[in-house]
Amino acid sequence: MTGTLPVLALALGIVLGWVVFGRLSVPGELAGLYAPYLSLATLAGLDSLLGGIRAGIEGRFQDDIFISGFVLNTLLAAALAYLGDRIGVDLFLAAVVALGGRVFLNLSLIRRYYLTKIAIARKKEGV
Amino acid sequence: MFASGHRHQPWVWQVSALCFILGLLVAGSLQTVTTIRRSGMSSGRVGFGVAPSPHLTMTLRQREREISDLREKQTTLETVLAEGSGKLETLNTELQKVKLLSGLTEVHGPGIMLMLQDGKPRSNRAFEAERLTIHDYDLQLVANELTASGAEAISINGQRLTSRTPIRCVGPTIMVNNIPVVPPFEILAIGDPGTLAGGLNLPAGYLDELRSIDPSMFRLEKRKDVLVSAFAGSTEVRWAKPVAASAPSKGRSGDR
Repeated sequence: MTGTLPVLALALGIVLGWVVFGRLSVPGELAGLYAPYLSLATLAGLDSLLGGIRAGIEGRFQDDIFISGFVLNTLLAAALAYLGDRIGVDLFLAAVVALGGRVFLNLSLIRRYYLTKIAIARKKEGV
Repeated sequence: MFASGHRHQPWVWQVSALCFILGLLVAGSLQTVTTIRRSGMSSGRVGFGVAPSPHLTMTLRQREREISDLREKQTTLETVLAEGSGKLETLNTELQKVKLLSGLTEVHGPGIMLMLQDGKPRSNRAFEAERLTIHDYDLQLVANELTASGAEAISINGQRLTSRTPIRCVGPTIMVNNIPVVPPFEILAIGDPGTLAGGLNLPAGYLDELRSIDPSMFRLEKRKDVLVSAFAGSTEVRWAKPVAASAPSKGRSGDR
């Protein structure tokens, strides 16, 4: 199935990440410094992932857009967070809002696609 | 519009690869937050954890005992030396008084015992942990208040406070005389028990504030006899030199 491989990869990533980050035993104060960046990267990853799936099912997936989108979004979000840290404005909220909004948009489009597919299949059965 | 049958399309592989990275990031974020929570709960103090090694602590205690013994011996020797003549005896009496004042001898007398310890958090909010923790400035405040109330000798967990005693926070521990001390803090002070306790209990004073945060954070006892240990740290003097009584006056213009 199409969905199996990404889910497996996600599970593998979580397990591996949990073990590796658990082994690192970073002091809490240091962890507090990079925690916002890590969560932003997570959000950027989620955004790119859903964007990629959406483009894939729409049949206009382009790998260069996909990869550059992930890398650049992550870097921009991190840069914004850093700048915000320097000038005392929570600029990373801008990244969170923008990326979060796109996550919901892409998710809704993916949902629509599958719902339409199911509806079409039901219609065929009915006929 | 939608492409169908995307079974072996390249995008599935790339999406899977990103899924893997995303999994790493999610796990990393979760671990990080867990780490922060754990470190935030254990103590409200900032800085890296430096636990004093048990071996070093033992060596330190041994050395301190040695120093105390040697200083005691010195006192005995001074007394023996002085026994020869009256002049020397007067000198020795003066010397012992100076040593007492500078905290180099063990002393006892009436006084108080104040026990300070961290309060128990009722919620896991960080600001509460901050208030419920005994900090270096708490000890500084108490020491100052006791001195103001006429305490003649003070020690915190066996560390005698002298004119050269720093009380400061290094990482999660408080250092007194550059020796790490940990809660509960037992503060002993020699002086008039009533005055000392009164100074600490001044309205809107230190203990009043603690009482409003968590009354279980302190215990104050007046005692008939308190034993305050001697200062066991270094007495090396590198910079200060005494100004001789017969020194020419032009070098002492700062007096006027």
